[in-house]
This record gives sequence, structure tokens and C-alpha cells, in this order.
Amino acid sequence: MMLAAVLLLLALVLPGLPLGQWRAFALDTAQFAFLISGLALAWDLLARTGQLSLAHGAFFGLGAYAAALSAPALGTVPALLVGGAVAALFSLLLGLATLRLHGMYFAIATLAFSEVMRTLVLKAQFTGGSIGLPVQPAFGGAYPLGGYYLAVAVLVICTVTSLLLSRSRLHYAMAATRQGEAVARVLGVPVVRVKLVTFMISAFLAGLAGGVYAMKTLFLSPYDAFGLGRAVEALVIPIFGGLYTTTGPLLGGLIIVSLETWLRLRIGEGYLVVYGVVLVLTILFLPKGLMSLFARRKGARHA
Amino acid sequence: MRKVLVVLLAVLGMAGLALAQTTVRVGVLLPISTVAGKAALNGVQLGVDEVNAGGKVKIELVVVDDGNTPATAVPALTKLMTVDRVDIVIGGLASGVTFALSGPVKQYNPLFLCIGAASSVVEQAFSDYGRFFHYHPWDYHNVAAALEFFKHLYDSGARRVAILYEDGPFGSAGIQTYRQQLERQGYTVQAEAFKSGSGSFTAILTRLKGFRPDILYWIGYDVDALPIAAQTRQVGLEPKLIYGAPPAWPVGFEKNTLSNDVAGMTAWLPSVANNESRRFVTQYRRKFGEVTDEYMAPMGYVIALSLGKAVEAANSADKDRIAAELAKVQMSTPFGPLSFKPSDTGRTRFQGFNQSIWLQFQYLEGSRRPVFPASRAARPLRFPGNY
Repeated sequence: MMLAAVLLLLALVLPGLPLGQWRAFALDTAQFAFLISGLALAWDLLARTGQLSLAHGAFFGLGAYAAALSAPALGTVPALLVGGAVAALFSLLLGLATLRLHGMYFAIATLAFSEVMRTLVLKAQFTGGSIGLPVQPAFGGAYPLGGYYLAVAVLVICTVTSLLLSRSRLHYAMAATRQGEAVARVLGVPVVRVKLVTFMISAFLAGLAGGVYAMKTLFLSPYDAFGLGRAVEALVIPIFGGLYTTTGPLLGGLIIVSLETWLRLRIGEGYLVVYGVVLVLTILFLPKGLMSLFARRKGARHA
Repeated sequence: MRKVLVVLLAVLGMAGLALAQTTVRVGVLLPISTVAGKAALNGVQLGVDEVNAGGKVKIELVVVDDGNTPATAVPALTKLMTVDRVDIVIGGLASGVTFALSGPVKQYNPLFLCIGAASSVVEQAFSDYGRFFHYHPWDYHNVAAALEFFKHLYDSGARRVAILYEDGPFGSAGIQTYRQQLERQGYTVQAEAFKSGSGSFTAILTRLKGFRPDILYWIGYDVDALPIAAQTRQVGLEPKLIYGAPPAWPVGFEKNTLSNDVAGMTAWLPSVANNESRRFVTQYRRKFGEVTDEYMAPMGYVIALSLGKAVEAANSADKDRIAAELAKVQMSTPFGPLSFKPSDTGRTRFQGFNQSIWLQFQYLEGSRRPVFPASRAARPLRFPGNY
């Protein structure tokens, strides 16, 4: 909790820090890291109900396309909200059809959903199809730091939502659903409704992050927006940082995206080797992610 | 005393050379973990070595990986502009990434020497940017070159084309235009989408047997080349020509007998018979120990050489003076002559190559041989091929 607050505070003041010539680069990297961390936090919310989603890359893409298409008519902030709402609407439809499935069956169904979305966007005329879609910058480019603070805002919203949910009655229903769905149902937990509500909140946040991403990259293609890579990123980060926590995906996202960018700069094409070794070592020695380090320290202090 | 004088003169001579030398720092922004990106980087480095060996110009490279994605490319370009403080950037291989770079490029105003990015969307994005030099042909040039070859095949008796295209941005882009253009030439066309990398084409190919295509034209990726070549034979489709259009062919494909008579399009091959190409091949082999078939290598080389010429003519590291000289460059290259003109659509001012650099090749006896147009053919096209 304290670590999350420090990280968010750092994100807010980053543009004012004396970073010298690295300022613009750091802000660009940080902006992408915030958005991917937001996506990871959104994914983790659903994971708390025990569901392994491979659709979050598609929600990110849907939010990106919806925001990009509506921004010229609605303006930046309403367009981002539309992006989140469209992602949530699709999650409702998908959830109604698939949330009774478990484990790998649900994962495969969500993967199929991503493929269907990619194909639809690819074939549709209004999305630019395979040619791609140019996107307006946030606030028409009027504020140089506008896009950056939108990314910070998305990260804050995702973090606060995650914290609020972890302190709510829904949290207990989510945990009970994950730990034993049949038992939870017997105890009166409306399991499918819990999963559906969480799925929609989670998709809304992913769509919001996708909208800001689109306004940063200025161009969307179905391949980039709906690629499996983003869905994998969304689940690798919480596993690396620490599942079912708020600080874990937040910390994991910031470290993984920054590490990847830094490694690419330093060792070029060899970066994947180091990146892969870091991930494997983390999973081997910290199966509960980076957050287990803090838990151990806290445990040692209490002993 | 005499020895001292000789040493003094030598030192003065070297100092004079150093004073006459113009040094420029150039950022290179490529997807260096891809086959095409690596080839492009090798070509740029080879060209820079040649320029630097000339002694009048010194080019220092700062290489960064664009990761083939906007999320990596934008910070990487920002770092080149703000940390490394380069005024000139060579890069822009993939169209989507280059489009995403158009905003930051306009913000920092470098001289941008674009190595790839064939999409017309990119042409539109840079239409108001005066420091954009695009060397690679645009997508409409690529289509024109391919259609010219298909006209030749029509004249040779081909009437039916089956198009297999991967169901992604690469394969689907312009498929309707291709179809219409081929039908306008007189062909009957049947187009089928496939999932690249699936390895399973038997069902589609069996369905196509009823269509009895003269040409099996596939647009996909390197991983699809062997399965298509193998399964076309397995189902007994027997087209007169298998024509592929992947961005890069699989490494070692030519060593597999299944590649025999398969045709495709490229901008360059090591066997191209002009002086610049031969010189490039010799130097590339000397530096890297082998020769690549990837045309992005000579493209990078040409960009570095033309930049060296412009810097030398400008006698200055000022990007606007270099751009003014680059606009006037006329040089022979492994692809043929290079000079910059407004693009066909008039959207960008400095377009290097057009459809004339494309050539059709065929895998014959274990290597790619140019077969079309006749003026650049090393061997006659085997049509019908033996599949």
C-alpha cells in the first residue's frame, strides 16, 4: 500500500524531476509503462475470481479503437470513457456466454474472442481494416504533458479500484469463488454475478488504458491492437510482481516495461535472453512474485 | 633533423585531414532482432565504413532497437533526439511503427532517411514534413511491378489465379485491389484467406483443385513457404506457377528441393549484374563472411553512401544543408540509378526508388535467379514449372 502510494507520487512528480537530457525519454517510457501496468492491474482483478483471461489484450484494443474513432466528435476524455464502456459492454456479452467455464476452457474461449475481434476489426471499413487507423493525439496535441498525465490518471484509477475492491465485500466473494466455487455457491455467493461484475470492471479499465495508448502511438493496426503479445503481457506482469495484490502488478509493470526498454538500448537483440532469464529466475525463486520479498521481510520483522 | 621534419609534416598533414573532415552523428532506428532489420543494419554499417574510409566525412552511428512496435520505437527515437542529440535518423522499416514515429519526428525535426515503410498511410503522415527522404518504393509501386509480371504470365497462357492470403494486415492489405486489377487483365480469380503459421493448407488446396488454377499466388510469411510448397504437391494441385510474396523467405529454403521453380519478387539479389551490386557483394562478404539475399542490406548501404555524398557536398554537419545536397544526389546503386523526385501522388517531395527496382526471381537449382523483366533476367522463367 505504502509502496503503491510512493510509486504513484513519483509518477506525478516525474516531469518536474531534474532528469536532464533523459527527461523526454523517461517520460515516454514511463507513459507506456503506466498503461501496461494499468492493464496488468485490470487483468489481476479478474484473476482474483480464479479466471484466467486471454481477452484483456482485446479489451485494450477495443478501448483503443473506440476511443480513437470517437475522439474527433467527443473530445479526449469522453472518448476515453467510451473506449472503457465499449470494452465493458463486450466483456458483458463474452462473460454471459463463457463465465461458467473454468480454467483452460475459459482461457481458450477468451483467446477465441480475441481472434474474432481482430478479424472483425480487420474486415470492417470504418476501422481502417488492415491498412490501420491514424489517431489524434490527446487534447489535439495542445498540452505536451497531456498524454502523460492521462496515463498517470489511468494508473491511479486502476490502483484505486484495485485497492477499493480488495477492501470491499466483493473481495471476499471473489476470493471464495477462486478458492472453491462449489463451496462459495453453497454459502450463497452469486458466483457468476460476482465474476461478471469483476469482468466488466476489469475490461473497462483495460479499455481505458487502451484509449490512452492509442492517443500516444497515433496509429492502430489490428495486428498491434489485438495481438496475443499484449494478452500475454497482461498476465506475465502480475505473475512477476505478485498475483492478487495491488502493488504486485503495479511494481511488476513498471519494472518489466522499464527493464525491457533499458535492455533493448544496452544490448540490442540479446535483450530477450536477459529478459527471459530474469523472468525464469523470478518464477523459480519467487513463485509468488516480487511481493513475496516484502512479505518475507515483514514476516522476519514479526518473528 | 630531416626525420623530425618528416614527422612534423606527417602530423600537420593528419591534422589538416582531421580539420577537413566533417563529422555527423546519425541515429539508426531498426527492428534489429528481425532478419530484415539485421540485414539493414549490416548494410548501413558497411556503407558507413566505406564513407569513413574516404577520409572526408566521418559518420558516427548510434544504434537503437525499435522493437517493431510503437511502444518501444517512440521512446527509442526520443532517446536519439534528446540524449544522443542526433540530427539525422536512418530508420522506419515497418509501416505501422513508422506511422507512430511521424508525430515525434515532426516534434524534433531530424533529417529522416526512411529505409522501408511502403504503406501509403505513411506517405500521407509525412506529407507536410520537408525533411523526409523515402528510399523504398511505395505500395502502389509494388503492386504495379507485380501486375506487370502477371500480364507477362497472361501473355504466356495463364488464365486462372488462386490467391492465398494471410488473414492479417500484411496479407489482406490491397487484396481487393489486386483482385480487381487481375480481373481487369483478363484473369479469373479465386481468393482464400489463411492463418499464417498454421502449417495446414490441405483443406484450402483441395478445395482449389476444382478451380484448376494456373498460378497459385500466396501472400504470407516465411513460415508458410514450405508447407504450401509441400502440400500443393501432396494434394496434386499442379499449378503452372507457385508465386510467393512473403517479406522474407525462410533461411535455407533454396536448399530444399521443394523450392524448385517457386517464384517471387524482390528488389535485389546478390546475382544482380551491375558494378555497384558486385562491389557491394564483395565488401559484404569481406566484412560479414557471407552474403545475404535480403534487399534491406543494400538498401541500408545505399542510404549510408548517399548520406556520405551529401555531407561531403554540404561540407557541413548542418542538417538543412545536408538535406539540400541529398535532394540533388544522383548515384548508381545496386538497385540502379538513385535520385530524389516528388512521389507519384505528390504527397512527399523526396522519393528515391520506384517500381523499376523490383524484379521477379525463381528458385532454380538451389538459388534465386532473376527471371523478369527480360532486361534484368539471368535465366528464362520456367513456365510451367515442375511441382
